Amino acid sequence: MNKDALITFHDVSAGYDGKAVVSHVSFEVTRDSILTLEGPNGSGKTTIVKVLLGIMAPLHGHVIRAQGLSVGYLPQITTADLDFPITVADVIMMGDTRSTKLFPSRGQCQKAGELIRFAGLESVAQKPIGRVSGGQRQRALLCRALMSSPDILVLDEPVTYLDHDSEEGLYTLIAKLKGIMGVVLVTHDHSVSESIATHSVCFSHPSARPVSARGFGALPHVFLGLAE
Amino acid sequence: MDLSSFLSFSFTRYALVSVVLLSVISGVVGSYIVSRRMVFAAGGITHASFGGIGLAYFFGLNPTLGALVFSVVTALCVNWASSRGRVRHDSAIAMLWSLGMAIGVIFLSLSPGYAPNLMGFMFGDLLAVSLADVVANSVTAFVVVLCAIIFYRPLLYSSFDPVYARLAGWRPSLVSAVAAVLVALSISLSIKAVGIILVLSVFSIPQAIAMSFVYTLPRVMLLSSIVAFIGCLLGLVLSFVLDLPSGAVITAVLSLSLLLVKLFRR
Repeated sequence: MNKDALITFHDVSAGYDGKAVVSHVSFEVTRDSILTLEGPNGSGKTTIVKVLLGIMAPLHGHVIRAQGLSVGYLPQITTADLDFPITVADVIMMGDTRSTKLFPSRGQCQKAGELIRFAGLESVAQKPIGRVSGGQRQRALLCRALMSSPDILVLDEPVTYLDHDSEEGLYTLIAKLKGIMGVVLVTHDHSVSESIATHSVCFSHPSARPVSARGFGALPHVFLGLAE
Repeated sequence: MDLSSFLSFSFTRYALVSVVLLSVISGVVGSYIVSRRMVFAAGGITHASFGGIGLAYFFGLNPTLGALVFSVVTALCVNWASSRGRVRHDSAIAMLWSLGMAIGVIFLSLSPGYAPNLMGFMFGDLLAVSLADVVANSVTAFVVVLCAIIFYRPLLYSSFDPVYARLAGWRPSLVSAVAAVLVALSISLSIKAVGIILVLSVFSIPQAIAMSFVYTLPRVMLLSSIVAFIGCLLGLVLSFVLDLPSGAVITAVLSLSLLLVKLFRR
C-alpha cells in the first residue's frame, strides 16, 4: 500500500439492500491525484462517491482512510435554496466544518477572502447567490467545499448546468488544486479525463462494473489495475 | 377628529408604541418567514390560534394566552410535519389551519352568556391595545432582535442549505424548531393589534417590498421594519381620520404600496 494514500479502495463492491450495483472497484487517492470516475448515468459512480464520503458502507472489499481524513464535497444538485437572500461570501464562509462559532473569526474571514480571490469572485462576493451567473455560483460552491481545507475534494458532475466557458473556468480551478489536496471528479465526459485527470476509473452500463482503468500521470501507486 | 388631538389619549400613545414594536417584530420575523417560503405555514399558525382563543373564552382564561399556546403547538406540528411527518407539508398546514378555526368556533358557541366581539380578533384594533400588550410586545421585540443577532449564522446557514448545514456541524432542525416557536410567539402577540386575518399582511408585504430593493437577510429585516412602520403609521392615522378599522386600513395601505413598487420596479 502507498503510504501517501489518503484513501484506498480495495476490491470494493457497493449497492443497496445487499445487492451490488458496482463491483471490484480499486483505487488510491493521494494529494497529487486528480481521479475521474467516468461513466454513463446509472453506472454506479455516485454509489462509489457515497462510500468515499463515508455515508454508505461497502458490501465487500476494504476502504482504508488516512487518520483524520477530511473530505469536501460539491454535490451534483445543490440542496440549497438559491433564492434565499445570502451573499456569495456568506455561502463560502458556511463551508467551515471545523468551527460552529456564532461569530466568524478573523482567520475564517481571511480564508474566505483568499478563496474569493482564488476563484475570481471579488466582484460578486457581496452579491446574493441567486443573482450571480451559473459559473460564478458553482465556483462559490466549490469555494464552500474548500473552506474547511479538506484532504480530498469530491465533485459530482460539477459542470452539469454550465456553458462551455464556465466549464473551462471551473476545470482550471480544479487543476490548480493538484498537490494541495486529492481531487475525485465524477463525470460522464471522457474528454475531461483526458484533459485534467491523472487517473481514471471507468464504469460501464448497465453491468455497473468498472471496465477499464487508466493512469495518465507518473503516479504508479495511485491506481490499482482494474482492466480485465 | 383632528390630528392634534391624536396623541392626547393614552390609547393612541399605546397604539403608536405598538406600531413601532410591531414593525420591529414583523421586520425580523417576517423576513425569516418570507425568505424561507413559510408564508402559508405562517397563515396556518395564525388561524389555528383561533382555537386557543375559543378555548380560553370557554374556560374564562386570557384569550391572548390561548392564542399563544395554540400557535406554538401548531408551529411545532408544522415544523415536525415538514421534516419527518408522513403527511404532506401543505396538507398538514391546511388541516391544522381549519382544525384550529373549528375548535375556536365550537368553543365560542358553547361559551355561556355574552358572545365576545369576534371582529376584534378577526381584524384587530390597534386602539384597543393595553399597557400589558405593550409590555408583552416589548419583550418579544427584544427577544427576536437578540436571537436574530446572536444566532444569525446558524439561522442563515440552516435556512439556505439545511443539508449542508448539518454536514458542517450546525443543528438545522433545532434552529428551525426554535425559530418556529419565535414565529408563533410573534404572530400570536400581534393578533390583538392587527387581527388573525390581517396579521399576515404585516409579516409578508413589507418583506416583499424590501426584497425588491435589498438582497441580504439583515438588510431585508431592516428595510421591511421601516416599510412596516411607515405603512402601519400611515394606516393608523388614516383609520383615525376616516374612522375606519385600523387593521384593514393598514393592510390596504401595505397592499397598495406593494402594487406600486411592483409596477415601477422590475
